[in-house]
Amino acid sequence: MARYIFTRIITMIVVLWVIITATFFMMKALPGGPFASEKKIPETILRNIERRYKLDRPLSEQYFDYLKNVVQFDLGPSFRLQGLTVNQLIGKGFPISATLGGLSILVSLFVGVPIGIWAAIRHNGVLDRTASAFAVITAAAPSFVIASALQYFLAYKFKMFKAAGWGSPEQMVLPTLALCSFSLAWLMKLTRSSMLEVTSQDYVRTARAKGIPEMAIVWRHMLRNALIPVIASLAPLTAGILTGSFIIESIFAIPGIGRDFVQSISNRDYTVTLGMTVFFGILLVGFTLIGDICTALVDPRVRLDKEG
Amino acid sequence: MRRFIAGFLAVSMLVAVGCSKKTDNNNEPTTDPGKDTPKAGQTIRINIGTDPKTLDPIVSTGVPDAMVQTALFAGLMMLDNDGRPQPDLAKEMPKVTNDGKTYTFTLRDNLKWSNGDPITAEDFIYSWKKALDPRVASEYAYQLHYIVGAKEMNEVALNKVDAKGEEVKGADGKPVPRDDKEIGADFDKAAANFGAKATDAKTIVINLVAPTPYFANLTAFHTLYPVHKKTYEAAPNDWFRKTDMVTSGPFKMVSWNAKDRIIVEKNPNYWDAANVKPAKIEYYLIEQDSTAITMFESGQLDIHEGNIGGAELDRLKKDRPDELKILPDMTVYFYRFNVTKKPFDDVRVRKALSLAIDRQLITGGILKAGQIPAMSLVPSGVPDASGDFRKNGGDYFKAYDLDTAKKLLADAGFPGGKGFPKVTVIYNTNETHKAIAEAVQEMWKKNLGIEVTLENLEFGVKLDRESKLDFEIARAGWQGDYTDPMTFVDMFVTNGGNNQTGWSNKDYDAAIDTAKKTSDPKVRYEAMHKAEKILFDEMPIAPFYFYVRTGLFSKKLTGWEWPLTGQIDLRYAEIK
Repeated sequence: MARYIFTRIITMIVVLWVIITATFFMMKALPGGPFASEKKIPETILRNIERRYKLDRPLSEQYFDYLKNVVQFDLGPSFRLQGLTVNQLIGKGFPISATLGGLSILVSLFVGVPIGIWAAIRHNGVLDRTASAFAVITAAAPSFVIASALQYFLAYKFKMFKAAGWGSPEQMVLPTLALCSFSLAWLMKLTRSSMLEVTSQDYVRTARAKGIPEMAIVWRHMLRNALIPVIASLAPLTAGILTGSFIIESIFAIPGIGRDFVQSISNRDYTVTLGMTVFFGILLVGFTLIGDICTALVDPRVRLDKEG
Repeated sequence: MRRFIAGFLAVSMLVAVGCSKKTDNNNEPTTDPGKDTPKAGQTIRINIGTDPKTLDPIVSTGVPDAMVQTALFAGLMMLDNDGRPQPDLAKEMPKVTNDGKTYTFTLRDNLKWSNGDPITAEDFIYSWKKALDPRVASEYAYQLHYIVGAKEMNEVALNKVDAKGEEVKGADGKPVPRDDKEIGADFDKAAANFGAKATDAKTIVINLVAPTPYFANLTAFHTLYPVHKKTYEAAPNDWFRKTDMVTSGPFKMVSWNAKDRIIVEKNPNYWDAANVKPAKIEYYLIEQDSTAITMFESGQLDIHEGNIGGAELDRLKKDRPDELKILPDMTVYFYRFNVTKKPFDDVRVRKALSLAIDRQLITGGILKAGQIPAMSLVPSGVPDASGDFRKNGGDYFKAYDLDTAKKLLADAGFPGGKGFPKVTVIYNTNETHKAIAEAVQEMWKKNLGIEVTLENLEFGVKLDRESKLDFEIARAGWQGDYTDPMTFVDMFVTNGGNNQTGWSNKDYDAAIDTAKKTSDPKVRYEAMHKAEKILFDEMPIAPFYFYVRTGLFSKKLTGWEWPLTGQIDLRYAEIK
């Protein structure tokens, strides 16, 4: 087990290095820079600016300087937002994005999974059919359509919630609903199909034949196996929610980091783009690792395969 | 079961991280428009669209930045609602002598920074030197180049040079960069010739390179605002992010929550504090127009400043006619022709294309916000020697002249569009630019028989191609920096940084040069009119329309001002 984790961590570092290098050179390859504007800046002033932000150094020097800083967790200053470092941006924005993301995941989990289980148990019943139909709609509708609809009807028309902003529990409802729509639908369907698959397995039929009550079978035998795919997909789902919150954050004016990230690209704010990429890279790889460890802990087949 | 717990643990760790840091937001806005609030103690809530990049007036460039700076800082002059300079920190209008080349400003008595320190003439000189310091790298430093010695200070060599002023090459054949100290030493040397001096604690004397009639306007521009020396030196990179930042304007900083709002409150040390009405202003930083409009309509905002487009505009014109404000803007929309590429090296082709555009259709049918078709460069609202520059200058060609257009195209060798090469129009990704480009494509096809393709580019990419002259036709826009025609007409001088058409005309250059050097206003404005005429005799650009500014202002809000080249000023605003 320890060796498994160790090799995974090494792989993680290599992957992160590849991500940083690729992003760095791709960003620099884009035409334009952080100070391009419709009003041309006079030559000498542009040179002053490039000197101040060290953009006049040769590319390789900029690259190694950057790597050196990243290893010390210094992600550099933002070019566009004067006086702020990328670390500060992440520090201020991430907790908010994480709260929103965390809430969405919790809702998806605690609403989606039980519904999926129930739908599978009462296969083809009323709940099953409604839930499945609803899931198709919510999964197909883009999150910004759902977000705008929620904002229009619940906030503007019926005045049940504030239209935008962040800070009070009331303001967390609409964004969370909008953000969790896809993952909720997906987890529900995933749980349901996973349960349905397990239901027809031999060991379950044996348990039924032995006369064990259905609920006990579900609880003690079916769930553990059915939830493996759910746990395995939690990791990419989590990372996806964190990154996918950009649109939601824009629509509901939430001060998270999703927005900073996407805007930094068109702003050519190199340090912010790179820093956020590093950050999200660590998150994604980290969650995948945690997901795999959990799966390994819980599913002996994985463990034995790897070590054997 | 264990799997479930494992998954649950992973997620709750996440939530624990997220919930452990309390958001440090302020409470909800304190006033509701319509509620009876006492005259003192009002909070005005305005959306400015996005976080300022910086609030340091010396280096800022953006509009949201300038909006907050109008409240926090003060300069020698400020702009009234007609765009004319009025004394702010200066006691009265400057004394202008020496053929318009020397300005003498006298400060008011007892001026104080927000922390009680006195504001002195030296504060201005210090700040202007900082704006010109190459190590500070202010983008708008060129707004100070009118002052004697300023350009030389700003252009101190960044790499080592030899006695002849040539760059020295290092061992690798590349120029050798200098460190901050070396550059500083040269800068201080050049600053000895700086034409702006504080002759005593309250008097500033400025010597200009050439007569500049709009110099008083420029002192109302944020780059020329003074900053508090001790505050600045303590933290040159982020002094404006600290809540105890020292300012000189009608308001002072309370808090800045990124992407949420900036809150400022009345500054009791401002010389005119007695006339400042609001107790607080909250600048909301909401980027989505639709979100901000929804907030305005549900009473969460008093003002929304932004480009309200198409469908929303129609609805708001119907639903809120007294709250939707459409004001003229000093900005022109145009297409550039690359005159170094065939067939745009032929003036007849350029004129034909320009004359075949139905501008009325675009402003009336696509934009619908009262934009004005443009058959010239300088918008209305810019003064002339007497009267309005645009009114006196008139239009330089007929708005939609198909007969002439067809004839010109035929004369150029493309009768009915036959044989005209396939050219591309580039524009930056935006719904409006797309709609206009598609309309123009159709007009040229129907009217002239020529085919053009459209290419939409990301903004930075388009700017890059424009500057490299790697295009045939490019969409562009230009906003004036100050209320004088020069901010428009000096764009198209030979090799001008903002020319980007490859066009060069000696007579044009000469006219601009005359206007820049003469101290006789009549000669000056005549020269600029002449330049505009030459520009449209040659048509290196095809102007489309003059912009408008749009915004939503609560009908209960009075006393707000929005000068033509300035920002929304709320110091006299009240909610009734």
